[in-house]
Amino acid sequence: MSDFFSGFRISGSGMTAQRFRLDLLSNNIANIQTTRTPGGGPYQRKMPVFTEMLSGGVAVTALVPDPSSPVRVQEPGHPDADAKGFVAYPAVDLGQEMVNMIGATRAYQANVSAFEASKQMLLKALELGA
Amino acid sequence: MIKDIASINNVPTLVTDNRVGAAKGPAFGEVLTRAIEELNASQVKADKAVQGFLSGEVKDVHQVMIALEEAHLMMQLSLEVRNKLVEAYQELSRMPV
Repeated sequence: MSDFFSGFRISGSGMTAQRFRLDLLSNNIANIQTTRTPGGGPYQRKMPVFTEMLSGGVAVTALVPDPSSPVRVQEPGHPDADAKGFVAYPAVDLGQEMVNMIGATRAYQANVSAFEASKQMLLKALELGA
Repeated sequence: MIKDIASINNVPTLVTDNRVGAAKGPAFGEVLTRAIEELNASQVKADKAVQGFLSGEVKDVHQVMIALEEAHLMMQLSLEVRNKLVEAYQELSRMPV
């Protein structure tokens, strides 16, 4: 019966992926001014890598840190300022994260719509001969 | 004439050979049992999903909703099959003997 509900599974994996993406975006926004990380240095913006699954659907397979260099701000009193008084802040662009957030929300909605469509199809099939 | 009447004796064997049970593939009862088992499995899965969500094991709301939706559709399908069966039975019981 797994084929009967494969559309549900695929849409579900898409929803999970987009929710994970939104989590990452939230994490990026939350850490927009984080100057300390366990690995040292300022926070690096994270990006998800999606991979198609053989049986259909999508999976998050990697988390890639954004390699762009941190933003240096002159702030001599800051405890993490270097010798010249510059503080390295994460290269997170709030506007870009917001746009990505809208994208993630809409993509989630698209998956819900696909789910609804396959559900309506199944329900219509049950009406056959009724 | 006598020879023709004698062939009546062959009728029971003919009937036996043509019975539904002699058909190839799984018996009707088996199919029905399997379908009901699958229905039950989907209900149990949905129940587990809800419990998992409430206890914090399942993190995604949509996975719970998908499991519930699957259970709902399986139930709907089983109901349709049941309706068809009852319809067929009533059709037979209305048959004048």
